[in-house]
Amino acid sequence: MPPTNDAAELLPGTLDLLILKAISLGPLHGYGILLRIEQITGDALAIEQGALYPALYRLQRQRLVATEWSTSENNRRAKYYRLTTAGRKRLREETEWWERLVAAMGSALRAKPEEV
Amino acid sequence: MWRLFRRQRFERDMDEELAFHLQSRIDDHLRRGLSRTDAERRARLEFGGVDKYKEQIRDARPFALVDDLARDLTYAWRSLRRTPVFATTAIVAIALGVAVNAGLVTLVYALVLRPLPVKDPGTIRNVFMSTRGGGSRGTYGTPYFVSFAEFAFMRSQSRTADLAAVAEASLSCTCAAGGQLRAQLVSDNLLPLIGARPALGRFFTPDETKTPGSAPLVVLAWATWQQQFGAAQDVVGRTVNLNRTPFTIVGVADADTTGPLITKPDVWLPYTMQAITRPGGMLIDEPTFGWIQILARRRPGVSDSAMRAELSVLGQQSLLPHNPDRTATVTVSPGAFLNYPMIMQNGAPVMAIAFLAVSLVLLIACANVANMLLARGLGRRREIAIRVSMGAGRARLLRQFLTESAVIGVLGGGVGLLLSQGAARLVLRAVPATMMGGHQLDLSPDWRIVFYTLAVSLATSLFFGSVPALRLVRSDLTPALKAAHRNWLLSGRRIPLQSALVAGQAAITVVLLVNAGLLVRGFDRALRMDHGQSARNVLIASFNLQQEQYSGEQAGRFLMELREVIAGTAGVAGVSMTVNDPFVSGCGMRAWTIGADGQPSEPFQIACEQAGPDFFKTMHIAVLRGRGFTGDEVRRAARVAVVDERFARTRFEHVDPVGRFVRLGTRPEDVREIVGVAATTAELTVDRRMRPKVYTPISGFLEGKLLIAHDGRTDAVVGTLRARVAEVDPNVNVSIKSIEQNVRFALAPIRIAAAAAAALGLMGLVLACSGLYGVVAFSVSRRLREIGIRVALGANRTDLLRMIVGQGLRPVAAGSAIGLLLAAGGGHLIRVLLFGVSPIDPITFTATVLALLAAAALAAIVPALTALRLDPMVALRDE
Repeated sequence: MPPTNDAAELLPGTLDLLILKAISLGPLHGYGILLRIEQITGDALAIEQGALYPALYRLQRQRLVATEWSTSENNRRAKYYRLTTAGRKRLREETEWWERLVAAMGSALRAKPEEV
Repeated sequence: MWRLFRRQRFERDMDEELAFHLQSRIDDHLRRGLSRTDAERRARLEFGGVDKYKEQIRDARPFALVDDLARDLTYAWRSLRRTPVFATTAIVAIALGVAVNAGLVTLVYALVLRPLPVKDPGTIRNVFMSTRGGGSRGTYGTPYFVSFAEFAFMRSQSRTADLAAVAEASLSCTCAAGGQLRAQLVSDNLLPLIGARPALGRFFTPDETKTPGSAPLVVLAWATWQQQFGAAQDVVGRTVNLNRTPFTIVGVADADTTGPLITKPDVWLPYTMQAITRPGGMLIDEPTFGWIQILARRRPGVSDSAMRAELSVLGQQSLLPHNPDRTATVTVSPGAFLNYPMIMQNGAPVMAIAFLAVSLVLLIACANVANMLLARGLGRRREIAIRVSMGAGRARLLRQFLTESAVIGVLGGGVGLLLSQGAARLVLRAVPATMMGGHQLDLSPDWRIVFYTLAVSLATSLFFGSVPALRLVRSDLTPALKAAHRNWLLSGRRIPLQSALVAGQAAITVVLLVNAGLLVRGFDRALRMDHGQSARNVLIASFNLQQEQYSGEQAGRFLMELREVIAGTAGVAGVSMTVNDPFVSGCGMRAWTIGADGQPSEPFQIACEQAGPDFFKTMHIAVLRGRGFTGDEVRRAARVAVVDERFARTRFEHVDPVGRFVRLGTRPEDVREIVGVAATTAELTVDRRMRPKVYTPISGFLEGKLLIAHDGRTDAVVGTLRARVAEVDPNVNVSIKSIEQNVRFALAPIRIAAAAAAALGLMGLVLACSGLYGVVAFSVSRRLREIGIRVALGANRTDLLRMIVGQGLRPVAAGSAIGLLLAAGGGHLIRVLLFGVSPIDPITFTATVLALLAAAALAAIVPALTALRLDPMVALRDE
């Protein structure tokens, strides 16, 4: 599904942050993470679903997420991802960074000519 | 095995995880009421290219690098196995290039860098001391040797290192098969210092090496004990005569001990017995005469700089009693055979040139491999394009190409390492035995050489592999996928990179061949030029009068009498005497001319030569003015001299020197009257300096040699000589050689250089031509269709042949032009070896380029002919 005009393209690094956020509430399998991201972003972000997996494996290699095989809600074997302590810490840091950035950008863009 | 298992499991898990995702999505779509076909199509579309993401996941997984490397290696190995001709050619090319390079490094390493063959070589140091300034000082051997007194002082004072003395001497012994033994004169601590242990008996005690002449004792080397004494257990205590002096054998060294010098000794003597190696004990009693080399064992906890600092001070102090006006320079270097500061300095430029030459061959080889890789890669464009479109990242592909290059490099390096051993031994064998006889050079590769070789081959193969690899991976690959464009070369579009590589090879080959040609011509010139003296039909006879304890007077009588006997033999045109070995050894000193007012001139350097009666006649040196020496003048050591024409011209210009005076020393009695002017003679040694020459009546009879000019009938001369010597003194050993041997010896360095350069040049030529062959063959095979069409349309085959060969030769011609310019520069570097042949000798330059073009034409014609011989219909149908 190529990005369309009403779906914003992902900034680099945002997908990782979204994944961390998605599993911060509890372990999820890959498809579950996708649904959670679609849900929390309100379908505003568009990615090819496959792109989720290289990102997951990268996070796993950085030891920000841990995995285990378990049985899914429809009784199939699925791989579940959960946050590690390092992942939780990273999520906190990234969240703060984003909030600062958003606040800064917001005030910058709202600035009126006389304030500049 | 474990890795394979892990890898399979990883793939299974990945597949299962992705399948789960797709299945869940399909289920969701089905629940929303889509048909099964639509649901599946939709899910797949949303997911994107499964293979692409799988590839990305593989790259992202842990252990990716290790696993990929293993996979790349297997892939590279298989793909090389599939193309054995390419693989072999590439590996051989790299191996040849690496072999000459590593061969040179092996030689240099063995000569000047390799740790000495002694126990714990890491803390062994060579200590060299050179001195500068006023006051007289003599050295025997290198200028870095110290006198007995200086060594004794430094050894007793040093706190940073244990100092030991070693010097070399040649001895006569009735015990030896050839009558001659190589001896090392050592201080008592030398053998223990290098970790030697007595296999029998003992070594020397400190008391035995204190007083000159007090302890005629000898320690045998293991090999001497085995070969000359039949490994007799009771050898200790026996007496042997060395230089007519009885010595008692006190011990035998263990088999591993071969001494700290480049030549293995047969025996060790206390260095205080030096006097018997030269009559009169002239070296050991002389406090300003250096003849001892210092070997040091650095003490624990001491740094090299601390050692150098201390020994510099001690060296300076050691000069105070007898050489107070001289300044000492002390060098401390890790123990090795030939690491004298002078050799390191003078040898460096020679080594740089040699290294440049071998690196050029390596460069040609690498260009060859790069070209082959490029051609092969172009042939694989379809495969590459398919793999890229299937999701293989370009970085991944690049890594795979480089792995292939690395495999070629390592294999080539391994073969090259083996070949380099042969190359180094071949060069060493070309060195005359008199220069390096009995050496104990260890050419076997140690880890440093192995590391160097593999590093060089890996680095070059990776660098030269990256050029074509980058080009292939970067290029637009879509045309390669379309079969219609398979003949993308049809338009005759050239591949500049390939041509550039061929041109580069041609240029380097020209440089190597031209310099080889110049050296060969220089060698030829040196052989045929007018030497100003006989270079043939002269025999040189030398005697071991010193070893037989002759006095100078006795030696003089012996030689003068022998001379008269030989002069009467049939076939002899003249007999004389000299001290220097003609063309091989020389003598230099300072001289002053005495002006008409009796005042001496400024001192200048001259070459000195001692001459017997009839010297100029015997050696065919023209006497231009005045006369040579008479027998009477030689006998009474008359204060006369003959100068050469260069001397006359530079010192007296237009004035006749005959009757004028020259002073060869600082004392009044060193003044000599000039009685004649002789023609200037040519020098052949590489380090020849064109100094004016002064001949004096021979006085050093102990080292005197008989020169015998003959008309080719040497048998009678040699017979008479040997018989007469045996009659006079059966103990005297006579060795006879021809002056032609001396000429060959003097020219050995240039002969070796010419042979090595020729070998390198031919190697370059073969590599460059095989490279050109490959390029032409490749381009022809790509253009078969075009050629087929042209032939079918009635094109003249001869014209086509001319076109193909011409296109192939164009880069060769361009490269040759560049090569000629570079070669002109190279010729200047080796000017000293050319004996007057111009460094831009037109004959050499023209011949080289013609030879290269001819060889290149041949290399291009073969594949071109093969292509033209094909039935055009076959070529067309093939598409």
